[in-house]
Amino acid sequence: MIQMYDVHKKYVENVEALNGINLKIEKGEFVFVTGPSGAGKTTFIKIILGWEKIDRGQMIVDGINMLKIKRSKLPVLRRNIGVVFQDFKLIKSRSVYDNIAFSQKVIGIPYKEIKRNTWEILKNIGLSNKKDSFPLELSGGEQQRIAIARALINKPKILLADEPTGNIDQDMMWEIMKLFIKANVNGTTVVFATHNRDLLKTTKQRVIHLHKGKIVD
Amino acid sequence: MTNMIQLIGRAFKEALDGIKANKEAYLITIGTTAVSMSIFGIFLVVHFNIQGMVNKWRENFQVVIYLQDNIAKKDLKKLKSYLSSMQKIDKYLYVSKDQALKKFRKRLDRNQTILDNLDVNPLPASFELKLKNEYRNYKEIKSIAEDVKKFKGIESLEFGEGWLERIETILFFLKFIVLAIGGMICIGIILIISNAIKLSLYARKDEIEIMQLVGATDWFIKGPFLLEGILQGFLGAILSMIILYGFYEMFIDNLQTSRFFIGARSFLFIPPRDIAYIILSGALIGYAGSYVSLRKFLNN
Repeated sequence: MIQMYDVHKKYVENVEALNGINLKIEKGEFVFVTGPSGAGKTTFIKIILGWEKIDRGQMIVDGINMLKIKRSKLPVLRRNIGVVFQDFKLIKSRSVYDNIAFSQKVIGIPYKEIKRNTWEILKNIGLSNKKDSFPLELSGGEQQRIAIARALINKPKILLADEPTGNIDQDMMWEIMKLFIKANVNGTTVVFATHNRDLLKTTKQRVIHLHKGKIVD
Repeated sequence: MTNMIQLIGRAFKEALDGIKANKEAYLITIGTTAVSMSIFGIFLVVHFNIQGMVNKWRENFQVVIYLQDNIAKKDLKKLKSYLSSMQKIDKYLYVSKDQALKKFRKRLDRNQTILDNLDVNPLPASFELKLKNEYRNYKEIKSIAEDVKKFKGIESLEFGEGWLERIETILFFLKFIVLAIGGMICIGIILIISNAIKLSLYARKDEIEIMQLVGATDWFIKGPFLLEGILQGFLGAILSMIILYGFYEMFIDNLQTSRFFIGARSFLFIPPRDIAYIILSGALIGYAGSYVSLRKFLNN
């Protein structure tokens, strides 16, 4: 699903955010990406999403060559990728329902279908009673569940997460993890960037360690 | 089709939401656009009226070829057949010496007795040429005159050379001024609208980022902002025409009795077709303004 060969990315001269990354993530795999701050975790997520362009190397995501992808084709790629961030990135002026429905409206799904899908996912994450609330009225855990619901509603092939448990308490962290595992069981490839050691200790999934832009064992 | 309607509906709704959110900035932009376009409109009104006067003058415009008294018959025939073959000439009239004198008497009206003591008819025979509309300009007339002068038996040619050249120069400069002011105002409005759209874009920065993250196409994101710009330009242009018409109505009486316009023709407002063009241009300028901001914003 994701292949990288000698991938390089730098934002400033002499500082490589990613420095010669080689890896393969299979379809349906659940992979953790870890490392200290500044290791390149966020850049790793961003280049898969096409948010940042790689400088050198080769990279294929869902069969698309990321070095050659045109700007106009990026939306097509992103419709197959769900993404969740540490800061939730919810629209504060819109209700929970609208935040989730938004990502379907954007890709032109008919209203009736949007309504049905949004209700279904709200039930699945246990927040149907909060549909009219606004993000700032919710706890961190609840906001992150909304963000995950938004990422999953279009049934993406890949789910990317950049420190999704960074802003929430320990109990809620496991609730959030359950949603990711459920998505993975349903066939979504999950790439989960975190530096949370508790989370990594308990997992049997593959863990990619990054340090100064390089993969280390 | 349903999706298309849904998308267009959404773009309108989002554009209106954007307007509501930045009501004050929006009104200021429309006001500034309207004032700028009114200034341009003033020059346009003056241009239209002077152009109208010149056109009216051109309608009655004619070239007169005065013939020598002793012109040979074959030369007259040659000249006649040349004039008949000329595509640029709408019609021509031969005025004999006698006809010329008759005409002159008629024009003198009560003073025609001053001609009674004349032993000979001093007036020359002539050809009066009416050119086709599109050839009633200095360059074409000059070239026709040059050709006609080559014929034998021509005394002189008259077509108000000095006047025609002067009027055409004035019209050229007026057109240049209208275009230059129009161009500058156009750039000014593009910058004003682009600035207003920039504010709108920054206010919804997070929303746009999320749209990009979930796979919205550039056009889906641009749509509402382009509509906002188009609406600003469109409404600004309509308002400018209302302002200008208001001033026109207020000052029309003074203008019509002014020495410059008196007797020429009544002072007119911009013709409806051109008003439509101006309003359409307003919408296009609005589009350009938002496009400038969007391109910068989305590329960053």
